[in-house]
Amino acid sequence: MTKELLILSALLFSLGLAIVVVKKHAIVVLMGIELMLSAANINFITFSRHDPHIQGQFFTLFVLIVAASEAAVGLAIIIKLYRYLKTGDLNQAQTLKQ
Amino acid sequence: MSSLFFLFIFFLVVVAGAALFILFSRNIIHAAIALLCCFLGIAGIFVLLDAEFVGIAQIMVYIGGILILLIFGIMMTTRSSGPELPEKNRTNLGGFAFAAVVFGCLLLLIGRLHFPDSGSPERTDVIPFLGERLLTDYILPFELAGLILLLALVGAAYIAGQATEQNDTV
Repeated sequence: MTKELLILSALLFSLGLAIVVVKKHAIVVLMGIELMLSAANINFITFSRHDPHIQGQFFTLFVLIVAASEAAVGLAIIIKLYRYLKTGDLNQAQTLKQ
Repeated sequence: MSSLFFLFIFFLVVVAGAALFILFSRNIIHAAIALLCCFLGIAGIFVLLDAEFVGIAQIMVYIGGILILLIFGIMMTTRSSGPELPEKNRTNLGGFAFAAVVFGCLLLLIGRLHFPDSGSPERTDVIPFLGERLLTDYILPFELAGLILLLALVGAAYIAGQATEQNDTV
């Protein structure tokens, strides 16, 4: 069961990476980042089964908090970008200043 | 073991299928719904792995918080006039090849590992243990996490909420 979980986590991480690299809309890229964080969480929970002090579960809780903060700030930046560029397309976001 | 194992395989298939759907879907709303299925499956896997509290927290934070935020973002950053919200891929072949290479390397590493699959020390008091440790041993990270949440809230409101005073210019 441990090995299947590790394979699922690797698959989820790779899919998240593919979404981040391939997708065009900024919000879908944010979804890919969340998928990668979830893959790390699955690994933590998997290994904390063999730990009497379940440290993996504590770390997962903190990863959840960081993921929530990251989503909030990332979404704020995307909305700002949309207001400036009038599109969510990452290919249009090429300039550093106006 | 058998029924639990079938449930486990079911959640595994749901998570992997939903993630694949996000990758190949052209519709952002459909991708968000698939992300919902993916998070629910992950929460189910957590519960099956004796991490009930983390599973519930996963549902509350990811589905109740992050996914709702993402859907708000979709509604605010896409034109709602069209019948659907199509979306094309940016770079096809290179990105897929890169992710496939990463997946292959991870599989190669996982295939070399050996784990003792039984004899895991089962805790029966996971939730009281979590609560006690969070307020004793992990009190500093716990408070720092609260500070990070506050800073993220203030920062996000500051970044996103400026347009009323100075419209459109930066």
